[in-house]
Amino acid sequence: MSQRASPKRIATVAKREFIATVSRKGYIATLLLLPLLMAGIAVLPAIAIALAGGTSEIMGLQPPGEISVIGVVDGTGRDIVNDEFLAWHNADQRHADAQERQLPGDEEVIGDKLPEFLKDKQLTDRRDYGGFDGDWRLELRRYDAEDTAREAILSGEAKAVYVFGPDWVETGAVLSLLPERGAMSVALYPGKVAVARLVRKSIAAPTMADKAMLERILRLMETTEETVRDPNAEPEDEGDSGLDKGIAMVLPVLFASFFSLSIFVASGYLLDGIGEEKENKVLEVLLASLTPEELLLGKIVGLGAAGLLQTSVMLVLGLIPMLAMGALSLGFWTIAAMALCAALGYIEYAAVMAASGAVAGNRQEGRQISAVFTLTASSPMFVLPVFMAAADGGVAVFLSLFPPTAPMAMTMRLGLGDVPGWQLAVSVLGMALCGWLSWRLGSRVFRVAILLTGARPPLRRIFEWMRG
Amino acid sequence: MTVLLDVRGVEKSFRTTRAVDGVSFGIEEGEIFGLLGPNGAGKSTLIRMMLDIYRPDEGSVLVFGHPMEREDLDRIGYLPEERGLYRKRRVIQVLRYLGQLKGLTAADATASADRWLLRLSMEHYRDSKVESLSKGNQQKIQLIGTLLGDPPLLVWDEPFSGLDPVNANQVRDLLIELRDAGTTVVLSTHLMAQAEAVCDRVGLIHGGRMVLCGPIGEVRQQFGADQAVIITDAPLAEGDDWPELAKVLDDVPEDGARRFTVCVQGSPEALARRIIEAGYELTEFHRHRPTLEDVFLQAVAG
Repeated sequence: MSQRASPKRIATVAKREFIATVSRKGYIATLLLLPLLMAGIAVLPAIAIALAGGTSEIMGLQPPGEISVIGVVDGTGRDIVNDEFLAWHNADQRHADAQERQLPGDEEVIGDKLPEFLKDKQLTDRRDYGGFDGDWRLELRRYDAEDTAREAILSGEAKAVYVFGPDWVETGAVLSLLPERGAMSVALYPGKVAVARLVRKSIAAPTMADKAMLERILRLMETTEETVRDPNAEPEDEGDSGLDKGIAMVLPVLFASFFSLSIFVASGYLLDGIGEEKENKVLEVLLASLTPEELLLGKIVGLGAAGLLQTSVMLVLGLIPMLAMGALSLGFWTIAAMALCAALGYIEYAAVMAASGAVAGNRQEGRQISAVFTLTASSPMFVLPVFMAAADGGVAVFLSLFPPTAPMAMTMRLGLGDVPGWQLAVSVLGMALCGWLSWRLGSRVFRVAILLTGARPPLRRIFEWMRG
Repeated sequence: MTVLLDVRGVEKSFRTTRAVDGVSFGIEEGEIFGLLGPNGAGKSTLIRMMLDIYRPDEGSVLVFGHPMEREDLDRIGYLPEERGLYRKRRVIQVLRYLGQLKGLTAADATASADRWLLRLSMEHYRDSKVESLSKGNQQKIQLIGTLLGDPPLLVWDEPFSGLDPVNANQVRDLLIELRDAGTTVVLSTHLMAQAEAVCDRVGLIHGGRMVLCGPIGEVRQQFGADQAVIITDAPLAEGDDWPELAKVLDDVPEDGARRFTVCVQGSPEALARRIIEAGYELTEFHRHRPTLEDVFLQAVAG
């Protein structure tokens, strides 16, 4: 038969496949749930804080601007909580607070227990007040006995009380009395560093003549921060905090993975659709009116459009707000290049998936066969840390140039940073060639295998079909 | 008469099995051609080659006077043996889609579907989901799917399977009506009575080869000219006692005698005379006009 395909028939098939797919419950559910998931990830820190009862609850202190009482019980008999110094601290506690939070390696820094993705700037930015914005105020108060201290905790008067026992000098053991806190609270020992400094001063001041050294002991390290950068490198946005950098790393990968996901979603529909038509025995009816190539091309176009719609909705509902907020700093051309990679990836895998569906006896078998291709295509995700560590490293570059893994790998690299133009060009060319080859071989197998019934043909035979 | 479909020496093998072996025949415009044969004879493979779904290993097929072209698909209504529909869709949606695949606009496909639904008394199922229809009614919807756009050539593979006698008769009448209107039909079936009722010519496939082909009358003549039915108490058997007797096809007791269906060599009347002259009673003697089924069985038996 003359193989001149009819664009009108291809369009008819594409339209039917598109409508049949987008009206599936599974498709609609995915379409709606993915953006919700995206939004969920974006607002999760806020949800976590709200569940914990607010930021102050997480920190185990009163809200900013209010005074939190931190108690001390001196059971050592050595008068380690000096009244003078208590007054000194409480008069100057705002300054002391600032110092306290600058101490390096301090286990009290709130937020350290949070997983990275849950941290927000308010909890972790150490450049201002050692970890927090806001006017967090501490008053150190002495309690004469442990029982009194416990009552203060129970009544809510004190947020924490530290009990120094008689053997403190020998063991350093201190009992911390804390109120019950929510499950989300991550504060370990509120005010501990302030208490430690107070005790240090009480012990050291009477014996030290050198006031400057005393001050230094109390304020051991007045740290300032400077990031060392390569003077030849491109200047970065000065406003980037650690969290911003984290977002800048994770979101593009997330973004890239959604692009790549659309390849598998659309290819999966293709696989399922052919399996269903095989089971329903519709295929030969269709082949009375279509060439196998028209049928295959119509399916690829229609289901590709369904995948494109899904990706577009995800972008609009899930990711564009991130772009607008500046949380995702990808340029138009980067996104366009990602879309091109995803489209080429779909072309690479669509015909192969269709051939898998045609060779398989049913949908289940089709999924099993196609798993080989799905795993190959998604393998860059398995070495995600390698990409995060060095997006221009040998492994990442190889995977982004190797056509079967290029769609996902190159999309991820584009999200993580600049990709040299020649690498992008080689990758795109490779994907295009591989897509063409995939179409040639896949359509040959599809043509022969589409009417197969019974046992799956051996690989040797499939290779024979590929040779034509 | 124009030859609409010309099959020339086609062969097709699947691994070690030769499914079709050097088959040649032609189908003339405006006739109903019955493609007959037992299961596994190669009918469906032959039909798939006629429609270019399979490519022959050897030989060629001409459709409308030339090798199959893309446009020819729009002029052929094909009902495959392995068939189905989109079960979750509505009847009219499925038919409209099938019509559009034949090159009709959506409106024309809908109009054509409505007309045929009415013709086959299926209009009540227009908006029903396919899966809610009985097997027989689904079969009729599939038949309608092949009629959309009024193609000049129909290729129906086992169109009567799954139909009750009433619907089978309706389809038979439809076939004759289509033929009378000038449509050419290739009918593959194993139901000989139906084929006999509607076919102008038949071709019998067996073991991948065309073992006979021609108008029904000629085929019957070819296989039935020398046959006779004899009721007698004579012990008829092949051998020297009955030199006119070539073969006993059937032998059953009847009213104290036996009813023989035999193949005669030479004159059947000579055999009758020999029975009487030998002193046996000859209760009944007539030439046998074989049915298509007899021809089928005889040809397949070799």
